[in-house]
Amino acid sequence: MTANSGSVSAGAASTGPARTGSEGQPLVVDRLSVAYGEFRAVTDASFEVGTGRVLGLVGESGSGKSSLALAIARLLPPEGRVASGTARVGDVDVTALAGEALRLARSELVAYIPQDASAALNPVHRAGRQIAEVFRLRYQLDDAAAQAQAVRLLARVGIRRPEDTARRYPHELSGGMRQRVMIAMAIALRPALLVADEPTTALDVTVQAEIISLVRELQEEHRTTLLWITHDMGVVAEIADDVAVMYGGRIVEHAPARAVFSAPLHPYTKALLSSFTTGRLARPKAPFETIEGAPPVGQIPPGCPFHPRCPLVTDRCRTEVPLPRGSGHRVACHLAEVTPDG
Amino acid sequence: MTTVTLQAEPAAAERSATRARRANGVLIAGLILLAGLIVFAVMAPAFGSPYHIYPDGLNDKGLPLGVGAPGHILGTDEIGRDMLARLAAGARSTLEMTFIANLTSLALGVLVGLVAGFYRGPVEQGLMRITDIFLSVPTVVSGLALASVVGVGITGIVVVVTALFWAWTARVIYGEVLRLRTRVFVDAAIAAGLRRSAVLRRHILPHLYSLILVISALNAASVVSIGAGLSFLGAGIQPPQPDWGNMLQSGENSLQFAPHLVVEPLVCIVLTVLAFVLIGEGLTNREPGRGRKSWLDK
Amino acid sequence: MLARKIAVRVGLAALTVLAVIAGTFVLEFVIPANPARVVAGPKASSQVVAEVARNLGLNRPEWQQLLSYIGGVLHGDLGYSYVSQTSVTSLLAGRLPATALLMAAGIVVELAVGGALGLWDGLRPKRSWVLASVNIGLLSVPTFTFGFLLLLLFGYVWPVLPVSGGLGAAQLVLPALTLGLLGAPYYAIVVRDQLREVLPAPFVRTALAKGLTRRQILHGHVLRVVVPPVLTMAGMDVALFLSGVVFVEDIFAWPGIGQLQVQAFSNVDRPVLMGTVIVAATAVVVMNLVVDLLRLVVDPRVRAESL
Repeated sequence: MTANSGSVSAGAASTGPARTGSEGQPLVVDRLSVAYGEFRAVTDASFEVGTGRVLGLVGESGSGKSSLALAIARLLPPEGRVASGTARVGDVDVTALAGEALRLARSELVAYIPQDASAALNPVHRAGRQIAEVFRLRYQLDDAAAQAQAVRLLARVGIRRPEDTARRYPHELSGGMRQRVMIAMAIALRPALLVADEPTTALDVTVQAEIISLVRELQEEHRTTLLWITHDMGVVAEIADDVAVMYGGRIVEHAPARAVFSAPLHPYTKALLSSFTTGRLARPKAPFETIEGAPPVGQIPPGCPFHPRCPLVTDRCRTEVPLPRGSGHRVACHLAEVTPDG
Repeated sequence: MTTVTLQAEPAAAERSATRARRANGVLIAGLILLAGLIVFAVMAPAFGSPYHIYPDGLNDKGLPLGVGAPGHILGTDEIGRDMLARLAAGARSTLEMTFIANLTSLALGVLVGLVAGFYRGPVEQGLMRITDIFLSVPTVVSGLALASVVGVGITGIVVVVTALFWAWTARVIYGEVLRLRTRVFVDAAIAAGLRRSAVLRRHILPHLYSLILVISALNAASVVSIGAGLSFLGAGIQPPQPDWGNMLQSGENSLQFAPHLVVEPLVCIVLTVLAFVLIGEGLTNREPGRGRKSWLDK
Repeated sequence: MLARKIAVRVGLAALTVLAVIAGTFVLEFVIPANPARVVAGPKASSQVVAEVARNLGLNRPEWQQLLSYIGGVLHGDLGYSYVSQTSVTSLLAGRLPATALLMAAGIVVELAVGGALGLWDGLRPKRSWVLASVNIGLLSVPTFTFGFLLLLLFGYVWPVLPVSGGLGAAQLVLPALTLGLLGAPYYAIVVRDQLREVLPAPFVRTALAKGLTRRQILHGHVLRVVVPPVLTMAGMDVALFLSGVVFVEDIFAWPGIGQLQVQAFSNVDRPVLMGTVIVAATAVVVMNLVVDLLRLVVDPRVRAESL
């Protein structure tokens, strides 16, 4: 192991795919479909995230948002595969990467933050070592230098006593600290795209807020492009520049956050927001609105995936899949009014 | 767009159905084998006396007859007795011994495991220490020492085997009772005012039945094995009473010129143990790895 | 904290050994009607028996006898064999190395064959029933049966290896194989199950996401988690081997403590019988303790959970 002291300049020391500097890259997803065997979890998803912007991908469980995230991060389980479409980060089509090129792109081009940090950490290795590992094994830093990097990163993610924490095992850390460790691991090689898969869902509300602001801060610092998956509209409100709503494996609405919150166009989005506002912000004892029915499990109905639960359903909705329309504010609904400037 | 059906679920259901079918095949194979052995044992008198020394039992060189000899389909032993008759008689004593020793070691083990796991506290500690002690002594070494005190023959071997085997059953049952103990329905029953012994009997015991069944099959396999082993070393049923273990012992010297004297009882022992092992395996519902795939396969 | 956990375990181990010693005392002196006769042997004259009775202090209250017995054992006095007129301790000490060698060889065979099999089967994408069937097959073959099989095969049918006659390396092969091959499938299954358990785990996905090579993931993450249970099993095998060793040493005439025990049994040489039990049990307890302590040190989760 050669002694490569001190700082790591991402891109220069590694032989990864061509990247300019350590900034973020735009993400362009074009008609991506993800399948597990015969079952389609995601169908024809298309969206873009500009460099350094944050896209909040919202949906209930089973909407396919996790599968979409995993597909982009190339971390689908063996049963899953990208059935069609592409996802490009900058110039690189991540869905086409294979072998050594894929391995090198990991963590450098695209990094992934999982939901469950405790399962994602190796229980028999100390926290610091798990972060240092990337530097040791990919950049051939010696143990001391790698460890120093790990400590630096731990400090960067807001851990007050980084040397102490680095020496601890995962089971000795709180949930919030474990998630910070995962974040430190994810940003270690200054990825162009960060995929955060519900990283705060399993955490206490107070810790949630801290983690959200931490990720936001890190993202802003390096203009990293961020794809944040969640089912919680409140989190979306706090962090997202743009919002994409998923239902039944399809993207049903995609627009800047402000537009989605003030003037949602898709019936599902509207229902989601109203149940959120009446639920979360409800007055005590006031009933909050729910969406009747349940999301599709297994059989996705023909036509618009939302039609069984949609209050505005027409015959056309039952048979014909609505395609996304509009430019700045895109929506996939036969009945939505798309204004020229939206 | 046509409807898309979820294929993942049927595939999983299919996998567990095939697994269940395969396990049942194993179980049935074991039961058939055991039934065959029981029939063999029951039919022992039909093969003639295992003690009778046949005048034509040895050939002109004074050596035992081999397999396929006229009148003695499995050959004769070193003093001219019929092997088939001896093996069948041995089956009888083996099965008898197994049945009794299995019952006693199981009963003791289950009792200790239940009481220790359910009543907790100092009783638990004491019983588990004793269990640990019995688990620390290697079986055959202590089996021989114990047999020298308790005596040989069928009673002796039953006592020895019981002493050697109750502990692992106790440990397994103890673990399971501990697991069950922490489940909500037990607390609910106690909270509803049931006496502890009633809770034990009515709520915990039923869950243990299938486990006990599996344990008894595997225990029986070990009992047959160790029983034959101890007999082989002289600590079990004594000659001239036929027993596969002591037949092995006397046959050992004739290995070179009459290997059937060793091979035949060996095959019997292995088949009997196999029968119980198959039954035990067929009864367990093991599922290593739960069918999830490896990340390194991508 | 750690010191306390270690102390607890050592204490329990010591207690177990003491209990075994007490157990042998009961078997040797309490249960038999005439312990002096038993110790002196069936052929001894009544004067010798009386002498032995006096030496053993059999007229004292039993708890006193027990205490002096335990004291004696702890000082290495395990009594005398009436057959060979030598101290049991020296008999055992003479034969212990041979048995230890045999057991070590057996464990090596087990780990090598079993580990290789388990790794091979566990890393393959498709599950196969081969290993499970082999395991069932070998589970059904008792040690002495397997020993005879190997004896027949390699001693007579295809006589390439010596079947008895001393402590040579060639003579070690068959008995070591007997012990080791029977145990190998257990290891294979443990290794394979551990692999099957670990390979789909989320932390392996994390390792993959870090862009490590397959080998780096295997060595750094997977094996670290798989190895401790295997070590535990190896430790526990000492108990199993000490049983199998009796048969193997008898069949292959390997001069260890197993063979000694068989001879002692046919001679009804109680002191030797009991002495061997004590030594064997102590070996098991010590090995289990060592394995336990190793796990405590190596696996941080065990450290946190246990007492």
